[in-house]
Amino acid sequence: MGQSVATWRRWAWLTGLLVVPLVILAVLVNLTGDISWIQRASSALILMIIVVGLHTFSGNSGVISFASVAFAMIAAYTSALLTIPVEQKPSLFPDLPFFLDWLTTVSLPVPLGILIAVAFTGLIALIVGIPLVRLSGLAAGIGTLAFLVVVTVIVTKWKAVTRGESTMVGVPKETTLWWAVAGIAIAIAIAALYQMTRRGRRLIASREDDKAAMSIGISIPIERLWGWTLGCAIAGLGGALYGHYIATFSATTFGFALTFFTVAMLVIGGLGSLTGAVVGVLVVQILAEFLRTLETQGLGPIPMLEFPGLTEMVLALIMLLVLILRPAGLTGGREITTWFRRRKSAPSDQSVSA
Amino acid sequence: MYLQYIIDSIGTGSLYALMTLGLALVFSVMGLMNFAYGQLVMIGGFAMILLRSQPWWVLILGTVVAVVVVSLLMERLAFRPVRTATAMTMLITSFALAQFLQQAARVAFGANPRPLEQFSELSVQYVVGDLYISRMTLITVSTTVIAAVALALLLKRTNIGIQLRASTEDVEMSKLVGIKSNRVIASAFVISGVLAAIVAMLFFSTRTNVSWSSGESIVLIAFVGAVIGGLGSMVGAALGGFLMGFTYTMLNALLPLELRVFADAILYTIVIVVLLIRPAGLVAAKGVRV
Repeated sequence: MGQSVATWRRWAWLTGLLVVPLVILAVLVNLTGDISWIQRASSALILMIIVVGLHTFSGNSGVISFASVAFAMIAAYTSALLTIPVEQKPSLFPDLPFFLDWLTTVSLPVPLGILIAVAFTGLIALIVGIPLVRLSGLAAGIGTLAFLVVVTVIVTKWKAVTRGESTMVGVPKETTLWWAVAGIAIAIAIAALYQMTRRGRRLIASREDDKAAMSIGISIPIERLWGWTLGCAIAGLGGALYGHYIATFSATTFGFALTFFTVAMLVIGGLGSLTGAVVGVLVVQILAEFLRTLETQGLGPIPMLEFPGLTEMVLALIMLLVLILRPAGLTGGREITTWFRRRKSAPSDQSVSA
Repeated sequence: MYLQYIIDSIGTGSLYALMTLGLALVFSVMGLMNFAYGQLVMIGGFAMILLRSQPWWVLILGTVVAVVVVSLLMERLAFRPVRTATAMTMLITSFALAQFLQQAARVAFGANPRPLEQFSELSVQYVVGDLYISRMTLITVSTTVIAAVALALLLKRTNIGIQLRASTEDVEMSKLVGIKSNRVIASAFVISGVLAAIVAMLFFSTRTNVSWSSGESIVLIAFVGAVIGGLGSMVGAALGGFLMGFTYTMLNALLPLELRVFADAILYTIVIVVLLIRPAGLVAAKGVRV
């Protein structure tokens, strides 16, 4: 796209500063050889992909979206349908509609299934995005929330294709820690590139001042549509990887609870920066694991606190405290590359208006 | 036949209209979409379980007091500190607060739904010609009308109501003329709490149990109803909520059986279409930014 050398250098710095620590973390966790730690790290990294996807749209455009989990769900089901072994398909999906009959004879290798699922998710995002990105503020919140409800209802009720309320089983379980690391590296690299190149800068400009942006000829719906489609496809990558990671899932796996967590992680990290997305997921996941350990087995001198819901309750309380004490999030919406630089001008802390 | 569906739909519609009013009131005063509003209704439900064996007036009074206290605490502890932050931060704060209250109820009352003994005197059916009208439908519709009229009188005639409406129009200006915004916002939360308590009593009277997750679907309905009705407009909010409930019940009655399971999906698709045609809602209030 004819970017300047300086842009590429900044891109490499941002991607590197975010990805390298994650890779080191993954290697260290792998060295411990503790299977439960490896599992926790994998699911945290996969979740991070979804949050990076959410950031790509909401962080850059300043428009809230509750739909990224819906796209993760679409991708997880698509990849599952494409990769479940042929032998299992007739018993799992006895009454597929005629236009999906071909699925019974298809069983793709998992990476190909994920790739197609991401492309399909992007296509759906593009189609529903054309009307949805015209909304902003609370209407956008409601519109995307309504879309999440629609997808959830279809997945729960369209038994012939999604197995309805029964869980999806027989999905090849192939996602490992290294797949998750590769996934998050790709997601961060793409998200960083997007927000540094022309298209992304235009979207950020529309977030900072929509009238000024329009006055220099930026078409806000078109820029939002780009960010939306890319962000939803990234969320789809996370969803597809997650499907092949847990191998059995249903619509409730991708429900309101996950939506709440992903949006909260992004806001706690600091809306408006990619660093915020990464930091938010890390902090919340570490806290959640700590609390969960406390709830299920106790920790050192602290006895086991056996109350279902305690983890989520304390987590919500901590989120409240962060929001009250640091409304701009832990990173204040600044990228890691600017952390060590002197502030030349006030950072765009509260740049997102809903 | 159709008349029967319409009567049932009016019942649900009135309940949804009442849910929407409480949410819309707080929004119009401070621009906050309070996701935790549904949890107030859930808390009202648990208050009813605890007070079920008491005389009816203790039950009603106790439920209202419990919900109003939580509503006021919400405002003081969570929303006042973020009042100057962006609308997005406020929205997420209410999200987190909703999650906190929900999980706290799960810790306190357990993960399984708690049974609520039925109010047998409310399930009486009246027969008019070939139509059935339950006493509950009558109570719901009349309570909604009374509450809406009372709210309108409160906003038009009383001192606090006039201050509330002034703050809705222009917060800065109303401060300049000496209106104490803390008091006004707190009173909005009190009214919203009373409405939530009434919703809880009407809603759970027709249910057999209360669960920690009961508030979720309620706030979704109210949220969507308020936005499609028209933010900042009380009439719009009530209309939006009413149409949500009315359409939902009608869809469930009239859709062919194999499509009925998709009633929610169809309803929310209609919501998206309404938003696209009228992003500011059906009854757009003056000067509200969306």
